[in-house]
Amino acid sequence: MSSSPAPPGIPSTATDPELLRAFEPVVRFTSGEQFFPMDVERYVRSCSLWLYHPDDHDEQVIPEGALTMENLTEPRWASFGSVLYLRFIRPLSIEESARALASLQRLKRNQKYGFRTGLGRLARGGLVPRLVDALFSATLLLRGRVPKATAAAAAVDYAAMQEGGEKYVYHGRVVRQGGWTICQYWFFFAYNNWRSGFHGVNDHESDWELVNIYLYEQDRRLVPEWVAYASHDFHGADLRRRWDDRSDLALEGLHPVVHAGAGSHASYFTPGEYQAEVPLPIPERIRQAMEALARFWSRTLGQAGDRQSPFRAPFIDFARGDGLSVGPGQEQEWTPDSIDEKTPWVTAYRGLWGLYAQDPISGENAPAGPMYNRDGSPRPSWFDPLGFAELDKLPPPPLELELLETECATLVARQEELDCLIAREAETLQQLGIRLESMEGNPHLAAQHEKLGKQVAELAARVKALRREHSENEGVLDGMTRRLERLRAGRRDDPRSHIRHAAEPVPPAHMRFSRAAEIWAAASLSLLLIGLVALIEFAPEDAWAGVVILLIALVLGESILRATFVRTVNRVAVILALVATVILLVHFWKPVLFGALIALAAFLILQRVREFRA
Amino acid sequence: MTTQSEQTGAPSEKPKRPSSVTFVAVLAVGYAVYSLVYGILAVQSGDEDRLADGILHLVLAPGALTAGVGAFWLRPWAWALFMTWAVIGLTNQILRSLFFEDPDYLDMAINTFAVLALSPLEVQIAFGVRHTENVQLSRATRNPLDRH
Repeated sequence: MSSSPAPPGIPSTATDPELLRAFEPVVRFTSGEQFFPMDVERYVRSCSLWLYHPDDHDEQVIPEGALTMENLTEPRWASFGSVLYLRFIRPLSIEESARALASLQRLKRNQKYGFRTGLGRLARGGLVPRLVDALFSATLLLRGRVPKATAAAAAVDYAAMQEGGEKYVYHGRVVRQGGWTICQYWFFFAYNNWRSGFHGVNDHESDWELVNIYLYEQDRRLVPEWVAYASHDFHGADLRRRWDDRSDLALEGLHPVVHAGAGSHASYFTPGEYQAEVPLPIPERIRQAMEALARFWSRTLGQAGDRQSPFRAPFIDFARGDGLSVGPGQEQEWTPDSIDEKTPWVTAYRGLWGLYAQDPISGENAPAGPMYNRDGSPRPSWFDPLGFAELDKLPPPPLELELLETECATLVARQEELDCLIAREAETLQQLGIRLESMEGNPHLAAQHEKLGKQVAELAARVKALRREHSENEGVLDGMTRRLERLRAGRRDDPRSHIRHAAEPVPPAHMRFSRAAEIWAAASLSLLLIGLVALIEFAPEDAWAGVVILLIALVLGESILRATFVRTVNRVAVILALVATVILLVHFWKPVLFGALIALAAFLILQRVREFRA
Repeated sequence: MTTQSEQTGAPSEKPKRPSSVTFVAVLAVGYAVYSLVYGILAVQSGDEDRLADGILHLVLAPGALTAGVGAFWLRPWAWALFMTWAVIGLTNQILRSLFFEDPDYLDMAINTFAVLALSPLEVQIAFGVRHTENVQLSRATRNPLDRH
């Protein structure tokens, strides 16, 4: 007799700190990363506290050096529209900015800085995405932004802090909800330098990231079942992977492996380079017009649709996992810090954890703490960690079988009830139907006929609805019964069936372009603008024609370098053919109309002749 | 008994050439013959005004012939050649129509017809420039039973 091996896990008598220790993640950073998870206390001590007033002025509440964890959480009165925020790096003069940038270069040399984007960063997006990227960068001049020197000063300050005592900290919390035990690992970073350090979307002071591990109790053991990482562009069930899903989730013993994005610190299951979709706000009417055009393109013209929106910028999140690794048995180990609803800085401080840059779309504003959103409202990932990964609808595995059996029994009972109901109602319907039929041809029964007709129609609709419910229940019951059999046989569901969109690294073949493509991508927009200027200056009368030729030549030239010539030439040719069709119709509408009418007449005559012959 | 192609689902027949493609190919071959004859006559005439035009036609004739024959055989390069030709021709005629008011409407119509004949997905698949596994046809169902 063989006994099945015990599932992975730890005794359910473990204390919360032991539980957090047992499953703490391994975080692998990208080479070149400058900020790592740290304790909030050291950070707060080097910050000042500020209040932004709605009349657009900032007031220093507590200066740098005087701020402590105690006075941070003191209650403060503030008017509606004001924002309380920490400031890690004070405003820098030009001289200080230059010094910070020079210090960063020295720091990079000392750290043997090892990040290279690799060929193809610019060539990853086409001409339109590059134009959008340029416009997006230009909007930073208008929106609030964190200066680049601030990132440099933050990196230097953080490195100095680490020199004073190297520490890698997570803020752990254990929650029990709906039969699940959830280990939350909150990682705090002094700075997010995705834009300034890694060509990403944004920079902001401070950064919070989250990893959740979901456990259930069985045979007095706490067994891990799901892991969820916070990530860009993904929500709900897409954030979680099952513990036995080896296609995505890497484990080191009981420790899930996280690959952190360089600068952004977003968490990924597998190492690689991820294309981040930044949806740019476009007016609803333009979006609708574009959707209509896309439908015309694919349905009317029979062309292949483009799955990617042109209104995206080619931002990449580098989560290569080739840098420092922090976690059990790694180069650096964690220093845990337990938090809960009684931790003062978690509950009592609702402000931002870094500079409020006054960015209206918030990309450059610092985030709030683990418990709150930027506006001070409660953060769902804190109060509803099950809903965060759409696990609120799933019972823990030991309860699954029992629940499913109960549901099956309920549905079987309903089917039996429906069988009786349908038989009874169908019989009544036939009785009424035959009565209705018998009234036909009797004008004096018109009123009764109409009344009965309505009754019959209502009953027929009810019978149809009951039959539909019965039929749909059959399908549901079939699925539930098969699942029940699988569970009874000890077979588990597909670990990936819940995933709608999985974050997948872009294959290297799609990421790397030739040097020629890279140079072209870097120079093409500028070339286009120079060409426009030259046309306006030297051939103002033919400037419009020149612009069209220039654009078509640029687009086709780029498509050759990006190996998308067939798709591009097809698209350009169809657009030109549509314009030509309009021109031809405008000039030759009479012959076209006559031709169409004559063709229609000939067709009709042919049809009639065929009918005569038949 | 099932054949290997049935088991693997691989197509056992060569793709059928759509009749619109045949028509475009015939047009190209016809244009090649016309260009050749026109070019020879122009060069032989000794008229200096027609010489450059004649040489251009003599250069274009082999290109049109190659594209036409390639289209008969459904070669991918022939499709690319036709579309490139059409892009250049249409750009030229549209710009002439919009900015210089001396377009050749026949040329514009022929190029438009060629593009509309060669661009549908099924034609691209027949030419082998696009593969069925990369294509998601999004035409709505026409079957009334599917809607009830």
